[in-house]
Amino acid sequence: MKEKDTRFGKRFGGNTRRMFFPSSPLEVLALEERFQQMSVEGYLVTGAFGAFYTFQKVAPKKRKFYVDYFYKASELDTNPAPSTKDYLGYVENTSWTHAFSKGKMQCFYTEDLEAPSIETEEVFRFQSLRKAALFQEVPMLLLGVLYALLWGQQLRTVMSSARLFARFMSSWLFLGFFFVALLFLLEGALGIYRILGFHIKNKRSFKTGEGMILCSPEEGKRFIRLRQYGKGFLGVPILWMFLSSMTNVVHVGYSVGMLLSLVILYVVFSKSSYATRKRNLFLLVMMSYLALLFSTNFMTSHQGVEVLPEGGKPLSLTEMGYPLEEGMDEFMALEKQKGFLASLDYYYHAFVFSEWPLDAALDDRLPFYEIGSFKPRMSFVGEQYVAMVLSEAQEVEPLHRRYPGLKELGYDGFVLQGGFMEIHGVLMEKGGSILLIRSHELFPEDQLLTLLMQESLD
Amino acid sequence: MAREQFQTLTEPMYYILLSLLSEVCGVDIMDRVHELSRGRVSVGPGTLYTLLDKFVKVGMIEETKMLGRKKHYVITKEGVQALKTEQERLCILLEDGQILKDYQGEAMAERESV
Repeated sequence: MKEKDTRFGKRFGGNTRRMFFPSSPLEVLALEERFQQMSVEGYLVTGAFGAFYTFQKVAPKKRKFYVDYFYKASELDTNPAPSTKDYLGYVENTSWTHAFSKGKMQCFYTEDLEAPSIETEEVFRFQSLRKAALFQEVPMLLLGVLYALLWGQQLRTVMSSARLFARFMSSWLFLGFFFVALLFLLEGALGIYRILGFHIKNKRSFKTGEGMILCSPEEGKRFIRLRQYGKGFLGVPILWMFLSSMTNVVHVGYSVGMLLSLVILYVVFSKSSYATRKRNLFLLVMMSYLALLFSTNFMTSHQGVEVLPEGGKPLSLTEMGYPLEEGMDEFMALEKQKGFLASLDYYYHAFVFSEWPLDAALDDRLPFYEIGSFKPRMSFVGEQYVAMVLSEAQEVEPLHRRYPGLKELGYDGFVLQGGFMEIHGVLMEKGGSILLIRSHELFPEDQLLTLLMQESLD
Repeated sequence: MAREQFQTLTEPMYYILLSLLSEVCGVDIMDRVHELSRGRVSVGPGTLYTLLDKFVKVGMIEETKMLGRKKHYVITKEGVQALKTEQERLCILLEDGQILKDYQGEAMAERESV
């Protein structure tokens, strides 16, 4: 095969292959083994960009590879610095050939499988890999801490009021950013934990004379099993996304975006080295979970769902052909005919009601049950607190079971959800229930309370 | 800290310092080490670069000249002292180990028979 020097490195012909292989500096063995596999298949690594490696077709042969991190080299060097040239000069004097440089990473190969290693003192290799891993992980951790601090501050404000908290829970954007910050922090912490593990393990093994312990892809079945898990994790949210997109065209964009990010994450997951894969599994699980939550919310929002008290007869708006935000006049006519809820106005987007007619006089002991009194538990469900309540209500759980105080007061009730809304208050009536949900910012709270009170009493 | 690291020399460190008793070009050190150790010790280029760098930093060797890209080094007084100290340590080890000559292995045979 003819060898040509080009400004982009050595070319051995027209056949180029690229491989995506994300790996951490702690698993250089994995990288070396991949390069060796490719060399046996007739491809020699000649360059790298990020986690993409370029291979050129050569005569198939088993070659030995060595990946090193040279700390005097810099990502910013357009040409090798004098110290890098010195280092490469030492290597060139042996049977090793320089394959490529990527920042601090230096890759060499030799056809002499018995050639002594480039680093004959393992402790130096251990030190340089530990340093390389730290360089990679510490900025991630710092970024995570920074994000967490910023969002922690925000969260503190949010937690100071039940109303703000409800709003926080009802914003998927807000929650989404919060989770991203959390992921960053966890990722950084896990990275440092891994380096610490590497450090302790190797210190111990150097003491006992066992030599350096590095991650390798040759971990057999565990490697394959992880890949299968990955597929499973991806499959569920994809199916869910598909279903959710079917139910609401508006959310197709969100679903596609989330789907794409999952697919990208899966590709990274399936192509990466063993240790990186383990790490990405965590991300994949988290992303899948978030995707499920978002899609669950898409599935349920804008649907009228109604759950009745024990003994009540279900009456579903959607089943009856009354979408929540349309057909309000007919809905109100129906209410009038049935004799209840007629006083509710258009700004209520969703209702739960029973078939039992309401007494004119609502119990004034508990006209409004503020959301803050519900002690909402932290939940990842959906973009809204409302969605959380809904999902519980869908399991036909009476309100009093969840909030026992209500039963003692003689109230029975159920809940309902709406689109981008928050629970304002719950109007209760013995034997029946109404949950009022209103849009944001339509009325100041005090004014709305007065309105509700008046209308209820009317 | 670096000095502490060189209180006891590893084989590659020892042979690199030995090979620098006369001025030599960096890249030729690997061959010199190979020769001096009669093929028993080999120093990889990465290890050589790291060690030369460390030796220069603690003043055990010094750079003499640069011909093209090739740097030449030679050992300093401190380096010689480190070599002597190491040699003395090795001699003590050797002397202490003389009892091995008289060891006939009776105790071991006895233990094995038990």
